Amino acid sequence: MALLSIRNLTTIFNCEEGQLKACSNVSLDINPGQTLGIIGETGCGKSVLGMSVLRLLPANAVINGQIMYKNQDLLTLPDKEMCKVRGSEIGFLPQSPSTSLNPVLSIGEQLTEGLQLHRGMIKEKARIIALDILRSLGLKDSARTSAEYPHQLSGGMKQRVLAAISISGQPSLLIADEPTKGLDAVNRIQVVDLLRQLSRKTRASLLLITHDLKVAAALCDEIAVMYSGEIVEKGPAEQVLNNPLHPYTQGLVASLPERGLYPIPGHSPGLLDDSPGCRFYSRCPIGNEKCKCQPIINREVDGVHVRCLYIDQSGGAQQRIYGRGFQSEAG
Amino acid sequence: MDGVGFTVKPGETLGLVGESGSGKSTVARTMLGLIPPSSGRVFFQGQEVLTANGRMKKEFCGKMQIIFQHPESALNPRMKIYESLLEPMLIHRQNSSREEMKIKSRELLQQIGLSEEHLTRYPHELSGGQIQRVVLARVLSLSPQFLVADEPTSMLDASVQAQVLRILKRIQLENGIGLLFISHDIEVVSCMSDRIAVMYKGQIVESAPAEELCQNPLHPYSRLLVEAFSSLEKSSVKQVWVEDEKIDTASRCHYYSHCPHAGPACRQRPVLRETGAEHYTACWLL
Repeated sequence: MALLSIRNLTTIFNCEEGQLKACSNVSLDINPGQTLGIIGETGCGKSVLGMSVLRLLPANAVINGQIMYKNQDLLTLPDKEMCKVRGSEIGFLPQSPSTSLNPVLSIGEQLTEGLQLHRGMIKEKARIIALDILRSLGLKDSARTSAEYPHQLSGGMKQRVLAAISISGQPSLLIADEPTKGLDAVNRIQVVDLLRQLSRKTRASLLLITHDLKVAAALCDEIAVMYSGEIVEKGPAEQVLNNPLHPYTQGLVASLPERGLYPIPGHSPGLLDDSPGCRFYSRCPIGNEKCKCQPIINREVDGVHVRCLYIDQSGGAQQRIYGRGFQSEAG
Repeated sequence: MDGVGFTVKPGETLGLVGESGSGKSTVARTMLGLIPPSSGRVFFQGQEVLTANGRMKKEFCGKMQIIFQHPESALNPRMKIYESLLEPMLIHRQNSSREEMKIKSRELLQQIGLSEEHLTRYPHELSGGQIQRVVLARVLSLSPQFLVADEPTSMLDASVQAQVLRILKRIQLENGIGLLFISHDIEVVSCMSDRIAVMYKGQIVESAPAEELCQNPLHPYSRLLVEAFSSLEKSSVKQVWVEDEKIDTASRCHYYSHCPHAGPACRQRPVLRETGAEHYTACWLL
């Protein structure tokens, strides 16, 4: 039984330029204790997906579909009920630690706030628990940290504090939005470690939104690849990353430095574009007229769901599409 | 920055890696005279850069160029792309007439894979990767012989990063530009560079040919960096923290407090020594 199951989620922003479809027909499941990674490039709608689950989008957003969490549809919940879900049922770990903490409140105050609100503690008890949580996340001198203000902490410590806040309500699902963006190698490892610790300690499910394939590989059980608002491939992490089927996933993997930095030509079509066919068509090395006109349906190959016409049981599109060595082409 | 020294030959790429705050960008800015150094000298084609003034200084500015990390802030938001492209040419007057400059800017745009329609747009209408390419084109408009790329792709996605890096590499090889490539991503650096220098707390702690450094890192910090990239899965990489207040922090090895092998010898700051063919390391324990 899935903890969170998203069915046909479509999120549309009404803008001056028209309707911007940030998520279209997304269906996903997360089981208890599982880590699901959403990978994709900037602007593909992966953060909007996370925010749609939490219903934290601006007023011009229209969310359709179904988001079932523990047998209730989050989209039909009254606002008041939804407030109770945020924090105590679904935690959120935001992307930039330096701007996500309140600069004028001490760490302790920010941490106890959630405990008082979501777990109904009195201030004194909340303080003790807050210190415990900080200590459990490796901030040894927790009393000192909780008296400090965000500007006194290093980036890594801030990330830990945010993690502490996000799990303080004991959520069963944690949504982490690009937790490693812009970090250097050593810090990145620490964050990966931290997330691993969190999921081990709290047994919470994790929805990890990232564009870093290596982080996804290290943490996820399942991976969904998002392109221009659609899930184009979804399956067990290892299979998706080591044996990508969809041409876009293949391109993503090939553009990693260790695979030779082969770029995918062209740009994504933009979310305003509403043509019926495959969204990857204009950049796809194997696409043809058929892909352009008809809606592409998901098909399943060995437990992996792929949205491409040219994947058959024998793995028809599996020819390596992306080319020559980096240094040699440059020369 | 503390006693940093290196050379870049024409057509060669030197990669500079290190964590945030290790002084990589300071090196770049100091070399180009954007930050005055406390002491030390920089030579370009045998001539001293930092003390140059007047016409010489302007000439150096044209020949030594830099690409910054945040492309959005490198272009003037109120100038159309072609205005941004023309500006350096107008200042340096390498091409005589405005018409010639316009032709050149079109050529440049073609080289970096953008079309003419982009010329009349504003920076906010372009994506991060496109802007970084415009910046690259602008830099090239002066035909520089030395280029500093300061984290040019750290804000970009993997696929866009691959695009920009390929263009950069192609242009560098075609024009024989000496390149200083700065990044915290050792994998990207190893793809781009002939030599790699590792920086830690303002000091170059190791320098070696790219392949050698990635396969056989000697300094404990470089080893940590290389491992941090290869083994995200195992999380075997742990930084230790030994703090010995009695030792004067000003004179000991910068890596002392994190180094798993630190010994008595490390209370004095190590200098770069040759530890292999073309391989220099600043560590007493080798």
